[in-house]
Order: sequence, then structure tokens, then C-alpha cells
Amino acid sequence: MTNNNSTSVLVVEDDHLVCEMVIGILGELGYDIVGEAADGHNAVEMVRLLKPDVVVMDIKMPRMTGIEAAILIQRHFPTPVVILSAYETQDLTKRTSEAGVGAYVVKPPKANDLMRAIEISIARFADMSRLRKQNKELQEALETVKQLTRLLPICTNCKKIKGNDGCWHVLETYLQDRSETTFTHGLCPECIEGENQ
Amino acid sequence: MIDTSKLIDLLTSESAGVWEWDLETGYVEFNDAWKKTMGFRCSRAGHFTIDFWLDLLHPDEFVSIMHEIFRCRDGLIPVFYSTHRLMKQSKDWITVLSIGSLIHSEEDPGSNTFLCTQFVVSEKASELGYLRFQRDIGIVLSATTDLNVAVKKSLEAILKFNSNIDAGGVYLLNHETDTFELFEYSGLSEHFIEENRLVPADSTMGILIRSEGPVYFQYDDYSPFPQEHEEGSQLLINAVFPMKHLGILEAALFLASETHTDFPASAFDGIEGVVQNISGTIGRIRAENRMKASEEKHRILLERIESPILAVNADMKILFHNKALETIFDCRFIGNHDLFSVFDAVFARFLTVNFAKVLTSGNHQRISIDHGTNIWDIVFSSVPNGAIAIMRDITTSARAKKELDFKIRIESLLVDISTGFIKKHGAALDSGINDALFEIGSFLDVDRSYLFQVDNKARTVSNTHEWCVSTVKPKIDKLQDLAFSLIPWWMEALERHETLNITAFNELPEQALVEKVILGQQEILSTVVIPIVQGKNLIGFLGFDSILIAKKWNKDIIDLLRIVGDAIGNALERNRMQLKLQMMYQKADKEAKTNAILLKEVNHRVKNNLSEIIGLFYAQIRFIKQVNNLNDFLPDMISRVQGLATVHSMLSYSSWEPLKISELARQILSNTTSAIFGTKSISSIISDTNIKVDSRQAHSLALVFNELVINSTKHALINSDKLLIEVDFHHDGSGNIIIKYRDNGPGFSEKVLQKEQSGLGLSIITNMISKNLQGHLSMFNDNGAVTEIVFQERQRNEGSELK
Repeated sequence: MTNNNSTSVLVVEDDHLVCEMVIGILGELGYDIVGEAADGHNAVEMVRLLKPDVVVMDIKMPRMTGIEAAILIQRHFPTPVVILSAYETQDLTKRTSEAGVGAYVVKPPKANDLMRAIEISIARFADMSRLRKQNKELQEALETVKQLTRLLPICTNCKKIKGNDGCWHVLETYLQDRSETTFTHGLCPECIEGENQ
Repeated sequence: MIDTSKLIDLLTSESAGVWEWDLETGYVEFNDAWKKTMGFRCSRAGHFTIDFWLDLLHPDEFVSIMHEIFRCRDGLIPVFYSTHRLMKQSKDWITVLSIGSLIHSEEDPGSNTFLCTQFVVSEKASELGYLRFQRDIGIVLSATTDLNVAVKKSLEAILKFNSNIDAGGVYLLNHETDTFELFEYSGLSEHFIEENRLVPADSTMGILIRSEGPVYFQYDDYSPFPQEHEEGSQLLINAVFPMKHLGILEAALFLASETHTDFPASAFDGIEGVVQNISGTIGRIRAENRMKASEEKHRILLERIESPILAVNADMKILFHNKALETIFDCRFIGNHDLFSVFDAVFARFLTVNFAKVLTSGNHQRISIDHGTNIWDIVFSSVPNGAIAIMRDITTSARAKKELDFKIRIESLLVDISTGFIKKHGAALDSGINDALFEIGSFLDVDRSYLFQVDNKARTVSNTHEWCVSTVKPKIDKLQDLAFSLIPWWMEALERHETLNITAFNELPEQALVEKVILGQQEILSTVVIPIVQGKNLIGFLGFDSILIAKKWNKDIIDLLRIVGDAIGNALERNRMQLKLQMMYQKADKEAKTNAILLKEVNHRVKNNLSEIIGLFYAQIRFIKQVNNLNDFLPDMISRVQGLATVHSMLSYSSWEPLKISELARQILSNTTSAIFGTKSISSIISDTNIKVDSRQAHSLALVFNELVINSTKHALINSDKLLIEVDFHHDGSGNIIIKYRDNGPGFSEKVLQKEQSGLGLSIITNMISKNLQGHLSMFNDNGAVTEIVFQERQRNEGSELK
């Protein structure tokens, strides 16, 4: 038995005996079966409630298919999903991938194959999460740069800058808030001369 | 007797001058005598016009003279005759007598020359009557077209005028023999005439005649003459005048006296002018005579031509026609005819139009026309003052050419049509056949063309394609599924692959009585029907009916139509084969797709079954751990796997189509109980029903039935040898199927009913019904164990392909 105690799994399968098989294999692999669902609709609800580390799910089920459920899970409760199906077509593989499914295993699975699929799905999900985070940060950074590269309205008298919020900001503060710039303070030769006079 | 003194006065007057006005070019030529008279140098050359001469006229006479000359030029008066004044080079005025006339050129009858002879006259000469003499000659010459009259009168006038001249004659040159022949004479003896009738060109007289100008003889010199005149007398020839017209020697005048031997040359000056005038007239008349002779020759030639010939003038009046025209067109020409009084209106209009074109353009043209029963090839050409038409009967050759053209065109048409069928099939073939019927029908001038196709099994024929002229009603709708027996003679002939060529009803044999009636009802006068054969079978026929006018068909056309029939037959057969192939292909394609789907389904089902078997093992392992009972492990597993195999086999057989639920129950029960041997008796009552379940439901129910039967055999046969299992199926009216399974055993234990005890079997039953069938399970005892299962009926088999 492999020790996978820390990984909780939700099994979604409408066939009782197949469900027995999946639970049996996952049990041997040491996964923690936190729940069973018999259709896609139940699966989404149980993901929301149980927050499993990974979902092992059939495709063809009553009420809601595994692909439809995977899309909803990725959209609302991002969780790694492994599809377990007796069907094996390129079109189906493509559709599951587009639905955000991390791995696809054909029934009946070998224990190692199922475990590897779960690991890949989790790792891929982590990568995706990281990439999503980085993407978000980059988007924000880009937004800041955009703010600094556009035309800036500046008061000719007091040199304050009008921000996107419509308020007038002191130049120093405006730039510090929107860039990595840090200001040191001093006087230029012309101002020194002006001070002396 | 002529007054000698007057003659001398005349002869001693100024020499006569001559000028010619070429009306074609407008140029005027003056002879040397004229130039000499007018004081111009003889060598003066250059182009002169009539204006040059008119400028020399006295201003007082200018208008009247010019008027007279132009009237004569325009043919309004025959002779210009006038005494008037002309200005000499020295600016002095001179009085002259001008006699002019229009002369037609021999070489070109269309071109004219105005020839004028001019004499210088004194008051004295005119008093002598010289002017009258000149005028008389001029009038005579211009008024006659008879050469004899012209020469005779001129000669008489000269002899009368000149009293010293006793005799004279005129020789005419025979251009063919190059000999001068005495043509007219006066005062000559028979002897002289006999001796001098012919003058060879190389004789002394011949040589003299060929001199450039007049020759005068002085008999004090040596002379080849005198000639013996009459017995005891001599005739002295005093002068010979060569007579030329347009530079060509035509004749010669000689004058002679019996006594006078010493005329001075100047005595003949006045005669020279007259001679020139006579020369012109002789030349003109001879030219006209030659032309007439030539015309006559042509006329004879044209008369002998067997083709009709017709000539008209510019007013479309018939100038000439030959015998052939009269005979062939059977027309009579009396008096001046116009074309419309001789020919029928159509032909006359045709001739008029084409003659007019030729007269206007001057170009000849060649046109063919159908007239009556003949075809004429007519060449229209322009001739002076008119046009001529030469007609050639090309009826035979034209008809042969027409037939040949027709044959070539129909060959080409039929080959195009036949070739076109090679690539046609389906709707394009129908359209192609309709086009072909139209093209052949209209080209062969029939009223209806059609295609019938034969159904050899039903022994019927149907009109599938038809074309007919607008005046004929289509029959295609009425001519469907006609039995062979309706037209027996017709169909028997076609089945013998014979072409039917019916040109008249009365030619039909007695056996064709029915066909005669049918054709008569359809008002068909003649028809040709071509059989269409494939292999040995008649598959159809092409027909071409004539309704308005009966048509006779020649063998060549029928042979060509047979080729079209063959082409249509091939195309129809190919189309039939193609359709058959297409259907086979579609069927094979459908089967291949079905098989591919089934294969995927089988694959899926097998994997699912294997998964379930693995699941059974895992569940069994779990329950063994709980109850620690291994006795039933193997038989139960075998039974369950056999249950899966049974339903898989049934579904495979039905291609995963819904199964009758009663049949499924019967099969599972049979399989499960077959393993029980010994004295135990198991019987079953399974109600018959048409209720069906889809493949997934059937799969789950098979396992449930299997578990229920295992359960019954385990418990019901403990205290009994007989087991009765009853299974009943029905609808509840709200879309649910209700299965009631009961046995006659001791019933469920209280623990089971209270759900305090559960084995693998019960677990499978419970979960299969709740999970797989999404149904409801009830278990109770009623003279045995009763299990009631309720689940929703699915309206269709859940597709094997995921959506």
C-alpha cells in the first residue's frame, strides 16, 4: 500500500460495482475517500461541501455528465479532476482537456496508472494555479505601467497631477504610489542661486 | 457643170483646219492646218481645252456659238454649222466656216469626241455657194448611218461642186485581207471598175493610199497613171486622199478627170476638209457596223446557250432574252415587257432587286433562289446601259448538296448527342434525354419525339420522356404502365429488335388492328420507332411521330437514330447500375458506421464489465473481512460473472437495442438455476410483457435478478425441495416500471427486513437499484419473500456515443 493519506478524494460514479472497484483501488493506494457521488450534479455539490484534493469522476452519468461537472468545478471550486471512463476517443480527450480536466484514465485502471494520473492532475493543477497567480500579478503591473505612460494632466502653477480618480495629487506622492521610485531631496544649482539672492 | 472659176476660188482659199474635243478628258487637239491658219506655230504643244477655242471667238458671237456647240455636244442637234469670226495669233479677225458633229469612239462606245472642221472663207467663196456645199455634205453625213448613202452622197456632192473632176471613187480597207475594195464610185467605166475593183496593199495605188496625207498628180511629170478608162480614152487620176478616222486608215478617195492634167495642189484645199469629215463619218459608220456585227455574233451565241439569259436596261425593261428563257419559264415576249408582266410577282421582284443592285454598284453578284420546282444559280452582271442575268439550273446538284448537308448536320447532331450521354447520369441524364428529343425532333421536323422504358418483369412500358411541338398535346401522363398486351403487334416487333417504320395506316398488317386504332385516335399519320436494347433485352424504345404531315424516313437516318437509341440505352443501363451501386455503397457505408459504433460499444461494455467484475472482487473482499465466510465466495462470483455474461450476450445480439424485461428475467433465472442439481425442483412463472428496458437498465437488472435468484435458492430450498419463483412486470401509469419478484420460501428474516443484517448480495441489490437504476426497493414477506422494484422507464435507449 502506498501512503497517500494526506490526499482526499471524491469518487463520482453512477455504476455501483465500478464505484466499488475505484474505491477498492484508491483504498489500496492509501487515498482518503471523502465521499461518493452518483452523478455530475451531486459531484459539484460535494466538491463545494467537502473540498477534496482531487475528484475521480466518470463521464457518462445521469442528470449531468462528468465533463459538464468538471467545467462547473473549475469555474467555481477549482479542484484537480481525473476522468475515469470506458470510452476512449480523441474527441472525448480533447473535450475533457478543454473542460480543465488534469488527467484521463481508461477503465479498468491499473492502480499505478490511476495514482500517476491523480499526481499529474494535482501537479498540473498547482502549476495552473501558479500561472494564474503570476498572470494576475502581471496584469496588475501592466495596468500600473499603463497609468504612467498615458498623458498626465499637470497644474502649471503647483505642479500637482490629476489622477484617474479625478483628484489632484502631489507629484512626489503620485510617482511613489505608481512606481518603484524613491525620492531624495536636495536643491539644483539654479535654485541654490535663487535662494542666495 | 460646176463653175470652174468658183471652184478655183474655193480651192485657193485658206486650207481647212480640224480640231477634236475629247469629251472624256476635256482636251482639244488642233491639227497643223488649223494652227497654220490661226498663225500658231505647228510645233506648239500642250493641253488645250474648249475654253481656249471659245476665247478666240468674237465677243459679239461668243454666246450664240458656244450655245450651239454645247447643244450639238449634248446631242440636241446633229450638226454644229456656223460661220463666225476667230481671233488669229496676230490679233486679226478671220471669218471661218465650222462644221462639227459628235463622233462615237469605236474602241470605247461610251466615250465621245466632238469633231469640228474649220474652213477659212472669203466673201467671194461664200458667194460661190461653197458654204452651201459644205453644209449639204455635213447634213448628209450627220443624218445617215448607212455607209453607202454617206459615201455616195458625199462623192456626188464633190463631183457636182468641182466641175473639172469627171470621176471619183472611194476605196474601203478590208482589215481582214488588208486590201482596198472599191466601194462607191461615179463616172467610172466598166473596164476601169473591173481593173481596179481590188487594190492590194503593195500595189502602186495601195502605197499611195497609205501615204500620210493627200497625193496630187501633175501629169507633166512621170506618173504611174493615167489608167485606161474606156476604149480609146484615158482617165487621169488627179488626187488621192487617204481617209483616216482616229489615226486609223479606213478608206481612200480618188478624184480623176479625162482631160485635166495640171491641177495645182492648192486646188484641192477645200476638198481636204470635206474628206476629213467624210473620213470621220466612214470611220464612225464602219465602227458602228462592226459593233452591230459583233453584237449579232454575241446575240447568236447567247441564243445558243441553253441557260436562260435575260438583259434589262436601266428602266428594267427587257432588252434581250434567249430562247432558253422563253422555253424554260414558259413565257412569251411581245413588245416591250417589264419583268412583272413576264414573271410571277415573287420572281420578278427578286430579279428587279438584284438588277437594281448591279446597276447601282456595277459589281456582279451571284445568288441562288428556289423558284417553282427548280433551284436557280443566277449571275447578275452590268453591261453598257443595262444589266444581264445568266441563270443556271442547279436543282439536281443543289438538292444533292442539300441532302448531303442535311446528312452531315444530322450525323454531327446525333454524334454530339450520343457522345453527350457518356458522362450523363441522374438528373443530368433526364435533362440530356429531353434535350436530345427536342433537338432531334425539331431537326427532323416531326411533331412528337418520345422515350418509353420497359419493365420486363411487369411486362409494361411507360413514357418517361417526351417532346412535342406547341400545336400537339403531350401524352406522357396518360401513357404510363401500359401492358404489352395493349399493343401486342408493336411490342412483339420491338422485342424482335425490329424498327417500326409506319408511313401510312393502310400499310399496317391485319395483326396490327389495335395499333391502327390507337394511332388513329392519336391522329398520327406516320411514325418511326427505334428499339433500345441492352444485351438481348428490350429496355425501351424511341419514337418520332408526324401528326400534321406524313413523313417518309430513309434508311440512313433510321440507322443514325439507332445509334442514338444505343447511346440512350447505354446511358440508362449505366445509370441503373450506378444507382444500384450507390444504394449498395450507402448500405455498406451505413453498416460500416453501425459496426464501428457497435465495436466501440462492445469495447466500452467489455471494459465496463471487467470493471464491474473487479468491483465485485473488491466488494467481496470487503464483505469477507466483515463476515469471515468464504464458503459461497466462488459459486456466487461465478454466478454473478455468468449473469454479466448473459446480459452482455443478449445485448450484443440485439445490438444494444432495448430488451424485453421478461426475456431478460427468464434468461438470468435459467442460467442461475441450471447449476443446481439433485432432487431439488425449481419452477418459475414469469409474466409475459412487452415492457422493454434499455441496455444500462438491462445490465443492472440482470445483476439484481441474479442476486434475487441466488438468494431464493439459498433460503427457500433449505426446508423444501420445490421452489417456485414468480416474476411479474407492469407499469404504474406514471412512467414507472414495477417488478414484483416473489418465491415460495420462508421469507426474509426479521433482521434483513429491519436492515440489521446485510450481505454482499443484498448490498448489490440495494445499490444497483438506488444508484444504477435510480429506483426504489421494497422487501417484504407474503407467503414467501417478495421484492418490489420501482424505477423509471426510459423512453429511449441511452446512446452509446456521448454527447
